[in-house]
Amino acid sequence: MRKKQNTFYLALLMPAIILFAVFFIVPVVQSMWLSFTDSYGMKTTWNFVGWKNYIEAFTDKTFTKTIGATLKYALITVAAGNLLSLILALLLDSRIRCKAVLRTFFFVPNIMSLLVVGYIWCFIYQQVLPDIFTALGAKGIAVLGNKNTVIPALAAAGIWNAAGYYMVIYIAALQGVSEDLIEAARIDGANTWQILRRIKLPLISPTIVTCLILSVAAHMKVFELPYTMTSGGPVGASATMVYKIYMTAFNANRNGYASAQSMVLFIIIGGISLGLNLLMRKREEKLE
Amino acid sequence: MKKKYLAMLLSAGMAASLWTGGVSAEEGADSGEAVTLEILSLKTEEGPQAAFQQMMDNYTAANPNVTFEIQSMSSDDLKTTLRARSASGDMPDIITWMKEVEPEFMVDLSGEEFLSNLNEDTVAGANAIYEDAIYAMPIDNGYIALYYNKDVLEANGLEAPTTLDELTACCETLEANGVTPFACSLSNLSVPYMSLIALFAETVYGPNANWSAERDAGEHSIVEDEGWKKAFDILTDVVYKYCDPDTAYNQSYEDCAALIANGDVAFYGNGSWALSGIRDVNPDANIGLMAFPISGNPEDAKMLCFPDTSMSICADSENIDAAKDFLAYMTSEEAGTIWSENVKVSSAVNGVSVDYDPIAADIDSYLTSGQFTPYGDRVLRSVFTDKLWETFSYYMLGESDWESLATELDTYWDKAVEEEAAAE
Repeated sequence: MRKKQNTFYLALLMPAIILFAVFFIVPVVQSMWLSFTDSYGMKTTWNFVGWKNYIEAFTDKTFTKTIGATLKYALITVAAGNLLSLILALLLDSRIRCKAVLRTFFFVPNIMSLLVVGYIWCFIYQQVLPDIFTALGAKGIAVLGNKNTVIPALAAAGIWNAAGYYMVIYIAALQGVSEDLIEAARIDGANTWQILRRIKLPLISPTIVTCLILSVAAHMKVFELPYTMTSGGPVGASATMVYKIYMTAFNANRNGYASAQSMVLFIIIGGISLGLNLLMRKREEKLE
Repeated sequence: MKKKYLAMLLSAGMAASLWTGGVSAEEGADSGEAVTLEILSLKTEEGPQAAFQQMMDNYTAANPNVTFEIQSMSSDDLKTTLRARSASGDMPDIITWMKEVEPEFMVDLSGEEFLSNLNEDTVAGANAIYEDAIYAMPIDNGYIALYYNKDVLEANGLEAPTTLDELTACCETLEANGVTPFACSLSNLSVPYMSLIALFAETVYGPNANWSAERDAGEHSIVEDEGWKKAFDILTDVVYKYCDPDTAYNQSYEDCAALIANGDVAFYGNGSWALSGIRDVNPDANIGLMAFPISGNPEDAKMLCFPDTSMSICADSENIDAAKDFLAYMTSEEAGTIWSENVKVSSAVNGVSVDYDPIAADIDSYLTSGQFTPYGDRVLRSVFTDKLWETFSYYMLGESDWESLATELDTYWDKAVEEEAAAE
């Protein structure tokens, strides 16, 4: 009977397993294999080159530089983005007017493609900001042309795009916090800040970690913004890992080397996500 | 129990649909007798698109059974698309040639009669990277050079410079008069990169057309080559120095075309494809074209002129004969004229001479005097040009010294040679 039942469950899972294998497992294994070859452009033959591509990845300054740029971008967008999303969620979870309108207003940027977001912010940085500076009689700043400001400038666009998405998740978590607990705290004399710090934030901390993991994975993979806004410049300051992988694969045609770079990115994202997961687990154990 | 079987049936159906979807698409491809030629083009500007449309309409009028589907996209997108389609064995019939497409995916056009309608040197130049094979059928000649606005120079009491010192002096005078000498975009690095290509074509390949072969043989290195250093230095000390770096970060390729067209700057380094953009902004702009002055000797300035747009037939095409027939039509005087008039370039078709723009006379003067070089980045391997593209601005913007940059470029030159050899 149990065997029959297992066969039935397996049959139900089969479409999902096939899809997952075809669209995830096979490409990852293929990519892993390609990273050990000298696969080039449209050539149909290639040779096994061992760890050569990985050695090159860690000695190629233009690639190692992209790791730094990507981490910097991810750090800003994850930290500032989640903070902003949480603040917006707290605001919309309070008793303010026009909640539905504001929720839609904040969420709209998220339904836009990042390519469109890139073009919009490019226009803001290249046309609107200089005009504002000129109107104020000041000399315009080329934020995308300065290697110190370019990553924060891209991050601002990324945050604008993603904040609404995480805001919705935080609102859902905040609405799950029992009103009884808050009421009890108020009776005990807790103020708004204490309620937030002692009750709401600890209770939604699993959601915060989930959002952190999701946003790390999303922002580490940023490609569209440097592609549309800066072409990785100036002097490679805004070239992110995925942008570099794209250029290696489709500009330099070096599929093998690009696959090795992809594997490095995969390991970095996996490592960060694992670290955050461990952190969450420890915190949960502490709460228990 | 019934529910169980229904659920199993549904899940089996979902899995099966993945398979059947592919089969029906394959069957659809073979249906019908009429020939539809699919063309993938990297010419996204209005002029070339209009020219293609006119040629296709004319061809269909004469051959009603042949229709066309054409898609235009950027070169990056075309590369990506062709990579994906070659992997799935679904190549189009005709493509605009790219050096990244491996010969095994293209038809060798050697011996085709219609090639005799084209300039022999242009055909040879377009296929310089192949040994005894013709995969690219060139239809026009392009250039990368220095546009200059005659009115701006005249208004400042200047004449077109012929030497590097004169160019620098011109820029100094213009700056003193409050005019920005050069148009340059730093948000779109392809703009200064075009100047670099023109410069190294003149400083490296102008004096020695065999430089690449000699470099492969280990006779030269970039780090020790004065020509390469000079190209980077002129880019840095003239093109970049005399642009407005603050606004350059906010300017696009189109903005640069507008600057030279409207007389807001005096000089602009770019290719033949930039001309239609300049004319779109100001059809009457009084502009000229010259090779970048690179020394005190005006004769060292050689314009980079090369076979530009070329067509190739894909080896997997099921309509090779029809595709060849259309390419034969493209080599006719009628088609050559359509292309030249719309795209504003000199045609590769024999007997086609279209007065497409006043600057054509400037180009002719370089060609007739033999003061040109056909070797730009198109003869370089993409592993190397990718690194060049990635790092050239480092030197220009003071982020890297010559030794480090040139050593890295040498490394990637060797890597490109090594990878090519391994693949063979």
